Amino acid sequence: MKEQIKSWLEQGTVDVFLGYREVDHHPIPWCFTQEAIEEVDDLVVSPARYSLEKIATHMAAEDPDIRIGMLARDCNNRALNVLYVWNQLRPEQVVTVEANCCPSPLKEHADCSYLEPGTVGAYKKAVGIDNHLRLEAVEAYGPEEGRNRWMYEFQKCIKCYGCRNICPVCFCRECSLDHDDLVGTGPLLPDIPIFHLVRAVHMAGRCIDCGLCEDACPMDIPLRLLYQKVNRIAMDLFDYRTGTSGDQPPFSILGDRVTLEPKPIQPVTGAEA
Amino acid sequence: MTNSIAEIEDAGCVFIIGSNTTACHPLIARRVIRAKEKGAKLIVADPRNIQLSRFADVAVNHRLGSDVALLNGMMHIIIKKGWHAEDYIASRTEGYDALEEMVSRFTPEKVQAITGVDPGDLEEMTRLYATNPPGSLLYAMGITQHTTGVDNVKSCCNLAMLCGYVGVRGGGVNPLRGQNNVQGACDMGGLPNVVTGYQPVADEAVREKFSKAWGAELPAATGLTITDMIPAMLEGKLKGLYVIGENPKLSDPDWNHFNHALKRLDFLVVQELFLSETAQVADVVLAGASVAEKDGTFTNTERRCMRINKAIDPIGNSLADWEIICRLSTAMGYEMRYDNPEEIFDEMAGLTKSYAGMSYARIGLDGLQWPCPDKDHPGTPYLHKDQFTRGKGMFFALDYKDPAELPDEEYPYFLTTGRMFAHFHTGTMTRISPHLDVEQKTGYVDIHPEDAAKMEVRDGDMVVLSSRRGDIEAPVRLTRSVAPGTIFLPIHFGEVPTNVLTNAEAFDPLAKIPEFKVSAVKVHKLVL
Amino acid sequence: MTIKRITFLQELLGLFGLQERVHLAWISSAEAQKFVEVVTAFTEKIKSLGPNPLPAYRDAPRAALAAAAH
Ligand code: SF4
Ligand code: SF4
Repeated sequence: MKEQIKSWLEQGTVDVFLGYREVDHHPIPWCFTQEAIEEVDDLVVSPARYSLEKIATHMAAEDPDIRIGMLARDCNNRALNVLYVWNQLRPEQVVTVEANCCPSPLKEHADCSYLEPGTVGAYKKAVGIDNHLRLEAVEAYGPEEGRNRWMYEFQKCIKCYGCRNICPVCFCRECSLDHDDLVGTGPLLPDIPIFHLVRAVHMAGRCIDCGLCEDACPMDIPLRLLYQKVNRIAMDLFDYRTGTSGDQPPFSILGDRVTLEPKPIQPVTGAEA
Repeated sequence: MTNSIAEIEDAGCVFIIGSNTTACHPLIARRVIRAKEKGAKLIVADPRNIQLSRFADVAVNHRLGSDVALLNGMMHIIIKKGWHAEDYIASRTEGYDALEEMVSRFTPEKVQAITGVDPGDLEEMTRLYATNPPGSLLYAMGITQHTTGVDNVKSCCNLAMLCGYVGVRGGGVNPLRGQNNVQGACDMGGLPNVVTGYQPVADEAVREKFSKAWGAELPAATGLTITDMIPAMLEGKLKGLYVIGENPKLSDPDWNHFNHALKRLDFLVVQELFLSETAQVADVVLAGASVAEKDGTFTNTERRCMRINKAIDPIGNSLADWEIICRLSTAMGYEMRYDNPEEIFDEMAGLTKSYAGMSYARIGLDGLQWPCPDKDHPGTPYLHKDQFTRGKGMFFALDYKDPAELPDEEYPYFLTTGRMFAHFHTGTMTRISPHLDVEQKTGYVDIHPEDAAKMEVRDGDMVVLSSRRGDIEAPVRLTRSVAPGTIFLPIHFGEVPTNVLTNAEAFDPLAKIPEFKVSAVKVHKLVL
Repeated sequence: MTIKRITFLQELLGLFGLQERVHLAWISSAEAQKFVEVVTAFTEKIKSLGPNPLPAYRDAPRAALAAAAH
């Protein structure tokens, strides 16, 4: 794999390759380039995951002609599909090297060490929502119980925006979550459940169930279940399978036609070698 | 912190006093929530209803500045019920008898009279803390920024030692430091009376060690705290001021008084990233490099020294702080030459026991927690394991003292000040971020709806707040997060300079920390 | 499309037991009578459902959380 990546970089098949490099025993998202080609020797494939395609989107926004190589698990590939559908990246400009992937209702047979259930505390199980439950179990809560449990989880939110910032398919130039007519600003506790529901609605037909948001959430809010719910509704109502379909969602909260410019919400940082 | 951040998750009980943790230390709040979800008990004592109060088994609003009384009241109950750790007290501490005598006077009724906390709540929070080991006590500026700041801190230590919670994993007394590197700055001798690792300047052996290393004689006199500098400026004794990475024009108490003092200076140098309020009035501004533009280390609240790595070269003619200081020193006649911050770090480690085992290579990405006295030492996740630094842990018998200023007929409201989640300190870095600016564009004053009804003001109305020091105007935000009779102002906003109202004359006699957390004010609606 | 959007919203609000608080009906400008009926019926329904339970989580957090605890 390393040889292939090196030859891509040398021959100019790609301008950059996005993967992970081992630094002090930690896999760090890394942008490999021809100028520092020896770094490819430290490339690692490990359970570590990051939304590399988000970095790709940011790069393409700066330089629309850039050709990008990327280490891709199945979730990365689903995200790439969504980004193609929404005109954030062009399929011709991306080449991938495949790596192992994670189970999801969007792809049944797979493995991903990240998703091995961690321990969920007894109190959270009693009053909140166990992040490892299946969506059916959460849907089965009665109205009051469901409300209490979700609101318990949302009350923990510290509005760090980690969920938005990590999400590979969050690319809007102007974010509704920053819009103070839509979501109240100012104090903590944030405006709940509006903050979470606004984000959920925007994820219908977009969320590719990678779980990175939940992984990023410092408060362990079961965000993945919430977005599975909106995707489930999209699937039931429209038979639309996010991340595998090459068409735009038949139903879009953002408007019927996509007119967003490919502009990231913040300048490229972090991935610079 | 005596203990590590991750250990909070394994506490049997977390007791938070004077810290709005979700807003000011959000990733520590994450550990608190995780502890709670795993089954720990949570107690919150704060004059305000903070976000974590929602999750607490017991949450009390004790009156501003009444911390010593509250903590003494808890110890009163612990001793009465026999919940104290007798073996631990006998073998590891001293001064217990005086403490017992003192807290015996703090009956629940007396505590209620001072703090307003219901005796039933007091007993329940005490029971939860004392009977769910290990108890982790977290505090922040709500404990320290008082005329009795040192007493408050000592009372927290008394309580934790009484239960035998100091020197055990998952327990401890854990001050949450206000900035990413305030621990590091203090460790490096950024205090008027010590050099690195808290070695006293007054100690001749210390001076000799450093004089030898630096090839220059060190003065024996200690420096001034900022609280002492202001009168010295006014008296004309202090003529020049060199401010590095601070914005005292906004952050220091009694704005008018401080500005008056600034004007008396002959020369003001400010080293800053941006043209802060203080930099704007400086004679010379030295452009410092930002965190992304420099190499070095930070030491965080859990004593973990971590590397920071330069991402880009400094923009324009800015320089890393160490380079500016070296050049300045060289220009002033003492040649200070280093090729990189690592050389400085190695020199410091050679002179400082708690850092002696650290090097850039060892720190790596994970960092190391001091004390780390030699090259094979793994670092210290929690302090005082087998014995205290001074040998035995000392109990201090402390009586309750009122804050310097209490509400009266003329100034009927308690004012307390603090932070909100989207901004950092005086906002020099955060207010220029569009995403953070969206969260909170300007200052405000939190008022309870009942008080607002009395003042005949509504949400968003402008009010004038006055204290004995001055007046400011701010828009009202109605909230039940403050108790009736108390109002809250955030400190981040230059156009609503909260510290016009606070008191520079009121500070802790030992630590010299000003009483930012308690002042008396009056409020009336602004009529145009 | 509208019906699907509303169905979507109802489904989502279903997580909180609030799906009955959204209602969709088609009424032409000529159907004044139907308008009155639908609005009256829906108003009645909302009244019978009582106030929106969500603000309680903000304003009386401890009570709401205590409710969640059992
Ligand atoms: S799981 Fe979370 S991070 Fe991943 S695509 Fe869905 S919303 Fe975005
Ligand atoms: S990551 Fe979690 S805590 Fe942060 S804003 Fe999102 S939901 Fe809230």
